[in-house]
Parts: sequence; C-alpha cells; structure tokens
Amino acid sequence: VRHRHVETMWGLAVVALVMAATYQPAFLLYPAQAFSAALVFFVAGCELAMPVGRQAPTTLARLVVVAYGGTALASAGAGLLVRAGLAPGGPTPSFASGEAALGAARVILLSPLGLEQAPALFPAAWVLVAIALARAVLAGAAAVAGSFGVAGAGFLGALAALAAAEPQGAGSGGQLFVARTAFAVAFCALGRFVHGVGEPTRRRLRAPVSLALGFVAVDALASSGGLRSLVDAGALGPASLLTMTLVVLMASAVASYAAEVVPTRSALLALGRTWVAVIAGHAAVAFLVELALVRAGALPGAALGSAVPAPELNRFWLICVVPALAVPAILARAAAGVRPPTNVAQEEP
Amino acid sequence: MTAFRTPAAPRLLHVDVMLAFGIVMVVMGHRYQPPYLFFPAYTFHMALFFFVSGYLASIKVGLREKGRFLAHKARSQLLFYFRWNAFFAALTFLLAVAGIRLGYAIPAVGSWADVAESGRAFLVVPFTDGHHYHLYAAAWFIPQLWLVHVVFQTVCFRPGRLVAGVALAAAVPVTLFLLEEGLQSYEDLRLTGVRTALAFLFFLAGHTVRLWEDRLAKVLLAPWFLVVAFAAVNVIAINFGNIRYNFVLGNVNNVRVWVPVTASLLIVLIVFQLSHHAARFLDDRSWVLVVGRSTQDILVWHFTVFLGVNVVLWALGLVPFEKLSDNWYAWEKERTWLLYEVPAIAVPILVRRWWDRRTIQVVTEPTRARRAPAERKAAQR
Repeated sequence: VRHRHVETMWGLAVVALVMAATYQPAFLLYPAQAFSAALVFFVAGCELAMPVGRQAPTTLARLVVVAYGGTALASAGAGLLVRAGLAPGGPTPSFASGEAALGAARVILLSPLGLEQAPALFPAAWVLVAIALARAVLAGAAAVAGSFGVAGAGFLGALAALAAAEPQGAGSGGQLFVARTAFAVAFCALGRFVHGVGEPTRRRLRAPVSLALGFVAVDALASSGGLRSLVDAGALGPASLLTMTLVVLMASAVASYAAEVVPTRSALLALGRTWVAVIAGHAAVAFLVELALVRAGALPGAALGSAVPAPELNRFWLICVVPALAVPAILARAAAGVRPPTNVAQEEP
Repeated sequence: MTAFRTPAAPRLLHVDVMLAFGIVMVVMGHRYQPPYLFFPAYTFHMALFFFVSGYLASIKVGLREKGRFLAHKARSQLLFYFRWNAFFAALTFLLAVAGIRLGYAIPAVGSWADVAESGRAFLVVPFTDGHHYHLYAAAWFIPQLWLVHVVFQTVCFRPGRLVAGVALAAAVPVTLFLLEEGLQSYEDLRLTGVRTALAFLFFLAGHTVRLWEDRLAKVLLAPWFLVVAFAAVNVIAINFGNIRYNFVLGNVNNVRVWVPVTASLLIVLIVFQLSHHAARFLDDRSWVLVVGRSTQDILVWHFTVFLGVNVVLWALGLVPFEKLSDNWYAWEKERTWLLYEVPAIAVPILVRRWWDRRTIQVVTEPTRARRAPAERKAAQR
C-alpha cells in the first residue's frame, strides 16, 4: 500500500517536472526548473523499502537493470524517430558505417546515464536511471548497516561532497554523471529520512510557522542565485542545494495537507500513480502538440525541438501542458488495466 | 475606565484565514511583496476584503430595520473612521511641524481658506481617494465599506437568493460600464461612484456565495476548481493584458475592464478554497487566526509602524531625513522587507492585546448546558 501523502507528492513532482520541461505559468511560486528534479528524487526516497536477506542483491540489480534497460530502449526508439525525420533535434543515430553504428550505440547506451546527450523526445531518461541508481545505493547501504539510519548521514555526505566540488556543469561525461548521481542519492536519502521521522517532528515540519520561515529563507537565498539551479547540466552550488532542500521540505509539508483534502479519485493522485509513464512520455506528447500547432500556423517552425520553449508557446501553454501530463497517465492506466485505488486499504483499515 | 464585553460569538475560521491572508497582502502591497508569493497583491487584495464583508453580510427586513442597521454601521465604521481621522489629522500636523510632511492635505489654520480646505480634506476626501493623511491612507476602505452597506441594503430590498441573484446579474453590466468611465481617472466624487460599484460587485459576489454555499461548495471547494481557476487567471493574464490595478483609484488599467475584475474574482475564489482547507488544519490559537482577527488594527496602524521603522533607521544613519516624508519609502526593501512587515503586523496586535487587558473585562455567563442542572435543582427544591 502506497501512502496517500507519497502519491500526492508524486503528483506534484511530475507536474513540476513537466512544467519545467514545457512551460510554467507566470504565477506558480518558484521556477519549476529550480526544484523539480530534487522533488522527484525526494519522493523516490520516501517510498524506498529495504531489501531483505539474500534477495537484496537481486532486488537492487533488478532495480537498476530494469530502469536502465527501459530507458535505453526508449532512447533507441526516440533516436530512430529522429533518424526517420519524425522528431526534432538531438543526436541522430546512423548505421551507414561501422563507425556511425558505434556512435549510435554509444548514444543509446550512454545517454540514459547522462554520459551522452539524450534524444530530444526523451530528455528525462537520466532521471529514471538516477532514481534507480540512488535507490540501489541507499538500499544497499541500509541492508549492510541494518537500518535506514544511514539515510540522514548519506544525505549530508552527498550534499557536502556536492557543495565542496561545486560542479559548474560539465555538459556531459563522467563528471556530469557523478554529479547527477550524487545529487539523486542526496535527495533520495533526505526523502527516506524525512519519511521515517516521528510524528512530533513531522508536525513541526508542516507547521505554518515552518512554512513561513522556509519561504523567507528561500526568498533570501534566491538573491544569491539559489533558484537558478541547473541540475540537468550538473551545475550545483551550495546556495542552490540549500534552496532545493528547503523547497522540497516545504513541498512535502504542503503535500501532507493536500493529501488530506484531495479525493481518492483525484487527477493529482492518478498522476502520482503513473509517475514513470509521465516522466518518460511527456516530452513526446508535448512535441506532438507543438507539431500540430506548427502545422496550424500558430507557432513558427523553429520552435520545434528547441531547448528553450518559444515565447509564442506562452499563449498555448495549457494545451501543451495538460496533454503532456494526461496522455501518458491515461495510457499507463489503460496498459495496467483498471485497478482499485492503491490507498483503499489505508483508508479502510 | 473598565469596559465589559461578553464572550465573543463563535467565529468562522476560514473567514479569519481569508482576512489574515488579505491583511498580510495589504501590508506587503504597501511595502514589498516577495516575487514568489502567490499572485501580486494589487490583483485581488481589496476585492478579497469586500468579498468577505459581503460573505458575512445579511439583508435586513423593512425600512426601520435597515435604518437601524445602517445607523449601527455608521457608529461602528464611520464614527470609528472619523475618530481616528481626527487623531491622524493632529499627528500629521505635528509631524509637519517637525519637518515630516505626510499627506497632501496637511491641516493648516493660517487663513479661512486654509481652514475650509482642511475641513474639506477631513470630511469629504475620505469618500474620494482617502489619502489626505498618508499614515491613515489604508483606512479608505472603512467609509467605502459603509457606502457599500448602504447600497446593499437599498438594492437588496429583502432577503433571499432570488433578490441577491438578480442584483448580482444587474450589478455586472452597470459596474463594467462605470469601470469604463473610471478609466478616465476621476479624482472627485465620481471616483466614489465608480469605486462603490466595483466594491459592491465583489460584496454581492461574497453574499451570493454565502447564500448558495450549500450547492456551490461542491464546486468552489473541489481541488479541480483550484486548478481551473489558477489556469484561467494565467490564460487571462497572458492573452488579455494587465490584471493589476489600484482599487482605490477606480481605474483598472485595462481597456478590457472585465479582465482585471474576472481575474480578481477567480483569485478571491482560490483564496476562499485555500482558506477553507487551511482552517481545517490550524490550531485554534494559531497566529494565522490571531492576525485575521486583528485586521482592523493592522489596517489602521501599519503605515505608522513603517514610519517608526524608518525613524529608527534614520537614527542609525541609514535613512536620510527627507525620506521620512515619503510614506512608501523603504530602505533596501528587497533585503529588509521583514524588518518593516513583521512589526507592521505584530505591533498593532500586541498593542491591542495590551490595551484590552488593561481596559476590558470579559464577562462569562453560564452557558445553557451549565445552567440546566442548576435550574433542575431549583425545580426539585
């Protein structure tokens, strides 16, 4: 049984992630780019379970292999679409020669790790793999130590290492991979730690005064560049790490309130239950919408495949963001078949 | 002198939360609002107060009842306003003597013309822009609310959903017409007319929501409505231009006058829902509720506290003396906004508590539940 609070947080996290990748409305609190990845890893850590006994190595390996295999396959598919001229930008795999085929294989195998540029249709591949890697690292450490007490220490350690290294964005390559993985481990560990705290601490974390203080602190950090985080590029400074920590804690507090308000059949919870599909599929759906807008003459052709959303897209943000969220979620639900809401057992003990 | 007060009636917690949010936005709007905090204050904050007033209002039956009610409101609002207006007139005069000029109608007694002008500023300007004494500028809301009550009791001649619904339907085109007139930035009593119409619209919207709350709650309190309203405000702002305006000036700064009004109403409804949810989780002694219950004190005093902070900063050599005459001046406000805004909210609350403790004794009456056994015993005897 997944906690309703965690499902709500997953819903919020994927909305933030999709808005960061497509378009964010003007009055929506902090820039989603500044915290969405941290929030995703934080929630991934919340529902981390400790593998038991001999199953541990198998479970951990399966976690990584499934995530990596899945994302590599999706990357390959996205690359082939580019090749066929059906998708924008990004690396174009070619099999014309042995060298080109080797290059295509490199893209397919290494882009999920962030060691190569990912195809434009699947920019969040690294998020899924990083979640699996971070969970494996934490669960492995917990299995060795016998408890999740390591999570807090893991968070502080990873954060200190990142803050000390202060990576300025390597673009791609080993340094980027290490920075992203350490970042994922840190926020997964924070999520696991916060999820495991007792009721008094939880109450203190979500108190209105904590939210107000968090807001004031983030506002102060924003002037030091705390909200200009570029996690995708691996550029992480101490100010942005501290800001992200505060923002995810505030998001967790808000989600705990929201979880008690949203109905069981809410769209937010539905998004939370299908987070993998939404993270994997939103860019492709957004591309299709943009393509339709270009064909209709509402957007210039140059807007397609651009890393920065075209300004003209602002007027159409709703018809871009809503399908990018809804279509993958609906497809995932259809593929999984109709199932009762996962929190029924929690509501009716 | 000791006044006596019976225990307060039970309060609607979500209304207290709405008031708290509104008054914090007023203080932020007058000083500095951090960039990532909700919608800009000047898109909705005064509309929120009129909405809440309408939400709590009731239509009186019969001319005598209406007259008595308006007389009561005149005492609690107009008399209250003019009592403090006299205080701020004296304060503004004394500050002007000290070289701090805060107001465009500083009382003067040099000639009969000066006296006449000072009297006009004291009695008439509160019903136009109300900014004659800068330290008291925010209180324009109070006489305006009284005018709205007069219009409300006149237009809604008897209680009921039908009358309120028809009044709202009629108020929409009239208000939009007057707002188009208001684009000319009137500075005389025509401004009062435009602003009263706008205030009345939000007041009536609040009243209608209250009357239909049993049916509307399903929609207004549903999470999907929050998302839809939020998206609608964004779509309106992107496609139809400016949604910020200064309520007191009666000029909505958009030739499509419906745009800021609709955006305001949607934002107010967003606050309405959020306040409902927040009220479920707040402790009865939460500081949020305390702020909501001290709205009037904060409204009246926050500019004075701002001046107090500036005076302290001047004494420390951080603010030049001439800036003390600028009511809206704040020293490095992006960094120091808390230095102004926390005292602006806390000081009026603390002063009121101190004053109440000195002067008011709460009389507790035995409740019906407590009285019942005593009555039973008396009956047995």
